[in-house]
Amino acid sequence: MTRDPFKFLDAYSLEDADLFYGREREIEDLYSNVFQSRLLLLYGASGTGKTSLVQCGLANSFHERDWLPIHVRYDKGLLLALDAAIEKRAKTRPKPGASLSQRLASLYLDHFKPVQLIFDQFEELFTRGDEAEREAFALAIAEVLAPDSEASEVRVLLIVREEYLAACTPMEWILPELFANRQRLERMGRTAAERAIVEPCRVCGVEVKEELASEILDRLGARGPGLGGPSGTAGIELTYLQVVLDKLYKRALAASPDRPELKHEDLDALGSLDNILGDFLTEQLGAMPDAMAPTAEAILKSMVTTEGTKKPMRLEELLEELPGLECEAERAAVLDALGRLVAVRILREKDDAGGYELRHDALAGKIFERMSAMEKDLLEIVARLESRLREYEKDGDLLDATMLRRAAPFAPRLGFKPKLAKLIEDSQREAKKRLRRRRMVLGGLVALAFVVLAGFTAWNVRERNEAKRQEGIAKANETKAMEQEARAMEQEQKANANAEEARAREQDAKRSLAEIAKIYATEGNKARDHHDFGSALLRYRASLDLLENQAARIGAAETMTKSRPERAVLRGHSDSVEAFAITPDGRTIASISEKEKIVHLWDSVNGKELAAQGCRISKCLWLPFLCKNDSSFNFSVYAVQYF
Amino acid sequence: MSVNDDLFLPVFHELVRYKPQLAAHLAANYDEEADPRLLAREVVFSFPWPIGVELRRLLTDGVDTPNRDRLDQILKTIERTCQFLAFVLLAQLLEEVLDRGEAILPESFRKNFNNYFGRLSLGCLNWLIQSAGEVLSASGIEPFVPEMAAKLSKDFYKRLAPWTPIRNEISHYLVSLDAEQIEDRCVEYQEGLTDLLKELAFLVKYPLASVTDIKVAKSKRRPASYRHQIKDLNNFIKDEGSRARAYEKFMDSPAVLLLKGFKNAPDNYLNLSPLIIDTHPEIRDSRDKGPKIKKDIFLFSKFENGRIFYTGVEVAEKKECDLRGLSWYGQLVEEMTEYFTILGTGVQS
Repeated sequence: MTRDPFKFLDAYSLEDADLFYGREREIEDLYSNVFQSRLLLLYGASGTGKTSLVQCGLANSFHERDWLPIHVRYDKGLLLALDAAIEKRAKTRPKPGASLSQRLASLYLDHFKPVQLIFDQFEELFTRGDEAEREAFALAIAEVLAPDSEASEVRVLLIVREEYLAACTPMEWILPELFANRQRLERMGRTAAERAIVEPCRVCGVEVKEELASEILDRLGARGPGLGGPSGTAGIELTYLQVVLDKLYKRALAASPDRPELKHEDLDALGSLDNILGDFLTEQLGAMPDAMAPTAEAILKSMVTTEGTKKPMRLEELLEELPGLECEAERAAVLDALGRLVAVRILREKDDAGGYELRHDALAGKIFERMSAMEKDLLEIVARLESRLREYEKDGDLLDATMLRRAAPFAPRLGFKPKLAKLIEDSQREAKKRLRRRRMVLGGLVALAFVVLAGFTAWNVRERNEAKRQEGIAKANETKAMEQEARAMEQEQKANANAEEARAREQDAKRSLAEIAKIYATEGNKARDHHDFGSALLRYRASLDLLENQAARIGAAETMTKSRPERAVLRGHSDSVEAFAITPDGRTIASISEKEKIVHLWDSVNGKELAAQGCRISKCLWLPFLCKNDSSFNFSVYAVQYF
Repeated sequence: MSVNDDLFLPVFHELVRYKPQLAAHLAANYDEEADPRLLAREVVFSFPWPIGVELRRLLTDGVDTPNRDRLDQILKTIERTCQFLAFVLLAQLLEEVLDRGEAILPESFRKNFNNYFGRLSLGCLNWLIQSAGEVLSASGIEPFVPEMAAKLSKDFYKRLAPWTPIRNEISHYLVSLDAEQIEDRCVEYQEGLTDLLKELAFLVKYPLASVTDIKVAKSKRRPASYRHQIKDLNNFIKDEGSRARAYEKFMDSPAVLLLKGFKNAPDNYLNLSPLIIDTHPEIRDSRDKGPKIKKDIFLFSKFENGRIFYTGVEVAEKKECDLRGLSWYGQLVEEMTEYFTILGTGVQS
């Protein structure tokens, strides 16, 4: 029996160096690029053979003493997977709390080989991880690649599908050299593809009919999806080529186990190669027992991401997820189906921990095409919920109302995932609690508003009543004030009347006094007429005492003139006197000497000086105070002269 | 205690004499024993990188127990050490002959030089070490590495001589050793390697540096300064950016130089080009220029039909590397021709 020259949907590995053809130049470039800098990005379309290029081509370029490849695939997280991969290869237990760089440095010292971290299917960080995880990963790698890092003997190789290249861009902020050293793996060209068909067959002793390789490539390129890269570059999709070659080889082997030969007839018998992978899938599922096929299909569907890429699953995870795809298979049935899918090379056992995955992303794409819209929606909602579940487990963030609404139609089909179901249940409970709390708060607010309103109303009523009371009081006060005003007016009138009366009385009194003064004056006149000048003056004096009386004053003056009483000698002046004056009441006489500049005041009755020495004056003044009108003054002067 | 501890610990202690700062690794924790892995690492990184890489390989899985692979690796390390010594002596000899005239070269040396230098093997290397050493000693020329003067003696050459037949025997396809013989020889050769490394421990004092670029900085009314981009190949950490050092004079570039120290390096350096070259400065920005040149330190391996073949220190090549795509390959050929012309009988057409 000959050795199988083809790998079907598996990647070439270290042991397949003698079967791996058509990528010599790319291997050379990759090997050179690994030495260009410590970070290398290898990208290309799905089905270009990136993994084979690294696992076989690059691995065989290194001497085993110069390379410690650490293959890392996303599991529960990329950094977790890296930790696990390091731990698996470490011989020395790192110190507690050792950083990633320290653990890698220790790993180097365990092996003394430059460590090559290989992150295959790096796009899983974008399809399965979240932004926080991507940032954490970039920071961790930046720390490892830092010039002063303890892990100076560590290189990093990221293998990513080219459609996720743009998604890598945000990481460039943390890893500026992310795109500096990169290599694009293009679809295999025709010449190289012919070598990839013919050379492995030669190594394994499998005959290839002349021109068969060319015809296979023609048929794949002519009608199949194998031709034309994403940028329009012609090339062969190796996945499809491998499936075709495998089918041809199996037929050749069946025909002649000792000397298998790839023939044109077998190629013709394959029919159309347009959907060779889809047909292969249908064929394999169709060949399964009726009871197994639905379980197998459900298994396959659960191993696809919303982007149509493969997603590794463990048995326990499958058992959880299958009911969501309306598959109620028992554990044993699932195991049987898994075994069958592995046997027909649709699935591969990923690791020792019971993990399975589709053999190639191209298969995932075909399975995705077979899914109903409902199943795709379910897949998407599960993916979203799982992402939120990670957040919940990390930060305790529950689902928001929008997510719960989205998940609601799928709730009956999500019960199969206890963690998701619990997340939904917790979120719903929390949402209800929130609603209840909101209602309570709202009720409280309404009650508070009511209380406030009621209080305000009561206060308003009270204020209104108070206002009314105040209004009553004001009105009463107003009335009282009006009454008081009236009373005041009355009293004022009374007062005015009294005042009038008083004035009248005063007038009367004045009139009486005037009358009396008049009588005294008259009697003074009579006495004067009788030349009783003394009595006349006394009467006049009495009259003047009672009232300022012009008649009495004139009478008195005339009397004094007529009576010619004994002259009094007013002694005091040493020089001539220029003027005399007499006060209106006639009691005081003023004499003025201009030369002496002095005024002397005399008692008109007894002729005694009132102020000794007199009063010095600066100049002679006529004494205006004696009388306001000239006549009385003149009269007074006249009277004094006589005096 | 692993088999490597018997090799690396004594060598480490010897290195401390010439590089006292290494003692810090011993005294890191008084209450703990020093991590032998760290000591081994320091030995690897202290020796010039071509030797350091081979020492590292001795520590890798599968080679860290007495077996055939270890036996081969021990011999390869010895060969690489001899190759380095031979290159240092030849580089100096060429400079001395250019300075002092060809009179110092004995005719026998000139006659045989092409045969031994054209295709290097351990036997050729030992001949070159001894012959070049004798010329320098006879001419009273102090070796560039002064400590080497004491080594350039008959005793030293005698100790080197047996390795050639051993190597030939071990690598002969007809010689088959059983496990016990291999184990015995591993122990025996390891002792020899340990002694050789201890004898050459002074090498760690002399930086092996790669000058990848020189830029002139000249400011107004100030003397010119030459900014050298230098990689230290003793403490060679891959991908670490080369360090810029400014000197008033300039050295050679691109070139691998043996220095007596970084201070005043332009006054005292030995250019090992084209015997040891560094391809890191090469920029290959277009596929039209041919396949990419691997970035590595390369050691001259043979000169054939005007072509120089190199062996990468790290890159794995089944045969010698063809570096004709290197942008300064023409200059390397000229320099190589100079060796044959001045020290030998010229390049055979």
